[in-house]
Amino acid sequence: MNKEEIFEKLNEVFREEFDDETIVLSDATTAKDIEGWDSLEHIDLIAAVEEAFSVRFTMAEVTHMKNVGEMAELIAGKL
Amino acid sequence: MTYTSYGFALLLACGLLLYYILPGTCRKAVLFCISLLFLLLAGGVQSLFFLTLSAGVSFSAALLLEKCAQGRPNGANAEESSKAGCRSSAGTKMHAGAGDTGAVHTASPKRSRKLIYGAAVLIQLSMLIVFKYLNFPAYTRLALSELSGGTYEFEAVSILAPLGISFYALMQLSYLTEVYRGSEKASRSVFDYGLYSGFFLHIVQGPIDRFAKLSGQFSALSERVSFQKLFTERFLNGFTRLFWGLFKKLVLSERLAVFVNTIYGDTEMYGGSFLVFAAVCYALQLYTDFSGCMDMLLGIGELFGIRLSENFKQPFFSRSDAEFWRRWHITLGNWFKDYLMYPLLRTRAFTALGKWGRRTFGKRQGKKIPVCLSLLIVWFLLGLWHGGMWTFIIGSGLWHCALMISAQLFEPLTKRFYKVTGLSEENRVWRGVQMLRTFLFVSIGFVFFRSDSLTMAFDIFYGMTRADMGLFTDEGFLSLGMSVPDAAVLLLGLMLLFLVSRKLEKSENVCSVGDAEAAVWENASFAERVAPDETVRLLFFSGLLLSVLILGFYGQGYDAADFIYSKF
Repeated sequence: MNKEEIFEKLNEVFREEFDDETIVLSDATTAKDIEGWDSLEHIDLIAAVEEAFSVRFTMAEVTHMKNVGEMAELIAGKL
Repeated sequence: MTYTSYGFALLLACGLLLYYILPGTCRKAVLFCISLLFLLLAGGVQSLFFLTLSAGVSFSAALLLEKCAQGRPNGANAEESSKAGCRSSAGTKMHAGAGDTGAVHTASPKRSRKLIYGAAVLIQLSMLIVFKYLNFPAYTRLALSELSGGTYEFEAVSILAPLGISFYALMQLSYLTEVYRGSEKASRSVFDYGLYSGFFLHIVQGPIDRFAKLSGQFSALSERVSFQKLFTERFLNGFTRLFWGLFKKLVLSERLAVFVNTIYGDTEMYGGSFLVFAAVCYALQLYTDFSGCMDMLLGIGELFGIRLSENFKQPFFSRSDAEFWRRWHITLGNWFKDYLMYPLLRTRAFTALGKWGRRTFGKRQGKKIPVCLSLLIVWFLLGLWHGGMWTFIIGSGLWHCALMISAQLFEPLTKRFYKVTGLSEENRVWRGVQMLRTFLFVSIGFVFFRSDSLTMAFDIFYGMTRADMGLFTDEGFLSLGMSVPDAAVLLLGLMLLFLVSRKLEKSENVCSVGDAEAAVWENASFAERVAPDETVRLLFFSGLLLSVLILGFYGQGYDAADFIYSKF
């Protein structure tokens, strides 16, 4: 799966999780850019991403992930 | 010795002098000596002993954890390899002499790591429990007895807790957990780790900084500093923030304390208007006291070229309770999020609970069940961290938990409200209403926080309903121990606080855009954000200096009360 495909799938997951069809992710997208992405939603989002890509993030990755670009890189490394 | 004492000012002056006179390679040693002296003078030998013990345990355990994780599969971090049963050569060696089987060899490093981590965490927590929570069961019984009209009495076990134990225990646990997870390397320098653990600027009341953030800065201390950088970036900016903190503490907080102490000193005598006024004043007092101390410490940090973590971001501009706690005591909230809430939500039990919730209540509402349960646990412990009394557990924990859970559960109704009324969330008046509502809600929590007992808190709330408008009469207002000129100084000071906070808030909004301008502001110091122009900054600093010297509560015969959070 290349970077574009990962982002395409991530877009779907984010839109479904935050119930917002207008979301368009980029490398620099952070929690600040998406309404509803707060600490309470973060773990739920992570679980949805894990399920969609059949991967598992470690706790260190969950807490240190800075933006969607890093998330996509981690996914690429695990596929 | 407190941060507002003459002794500390002298220690700071001597420390700064030595720091910049001696060669750059001595700077770390100077900071170490200042920290050691401060700890001995403020907390005594007992505090030094327990800090050394706590730091020694973490330092050794981290090295052992890393040794155990060596030789793990390429690309896998410690947490993954631990879960997979890391085939550590070190671990194998550790158990080879015992004549274990091959199967045991692969499993033992994982077990060893868990054992080492568990034992180190247990030691840190045991120290915290012994010094802070021995009386918790008795206090709980007392609270229940008081509420039910009983007469339970007990003699509290009195042990003087080492200085800053609540704060450095969390820092030690953070370091241990990061090394255990493999996201941080274990320190190999006793000197560096000792300086991080006992650093005089965060030992008493935080900020709860992570080792990775400070160790990098400590390593760069020996770099040469140009004359220009020293005076503008470090001294002007650092002293401006230091005096802004002193202004908040000595000019505002100490004046607000006069109102609060007078009214809460005799809650039966004062009626409705006075008690509401005291609740508002206490929220402002707590903020100016705690954030004032943080401003001082961050300012002093800048003098030495060290950036500590921000602990406050204009919390009274928050539009919800959840937002308030993202802006108030930020490092504590982040600690509980990273080391308690996230791991809790990632456990099998919570994952299963979430799946059950989705099946039973639908996707949107069902997923909130594990979140609400984790909030309950986290906020109970957050309240308990402040002290083993139910006034803290409710005032700084469960009350806010109830507000956040309500916000979660009523989210569909809130969305419907906006849809039906057509009200924009960005409407300025509505934003103001939301900020006022949040302020009132957090002030209610702070009434518990300030009260000596739950019954006192409930009496205060009951008293607020007594019709008494005495505060608005000359006699009533002047009976609170504050003269008219002092009240005017307080009012003007609070207006300045509002203006500075608004300026900082605007710079935060620029930072959130994420463009080139944001990057510049992101790295700007407090003083640069408040007064970008250097001449204005110099004037601002001079004004603060004069205000603190002329209007501050200090001097012979007057001892500024300890910072409220130093007792935690």
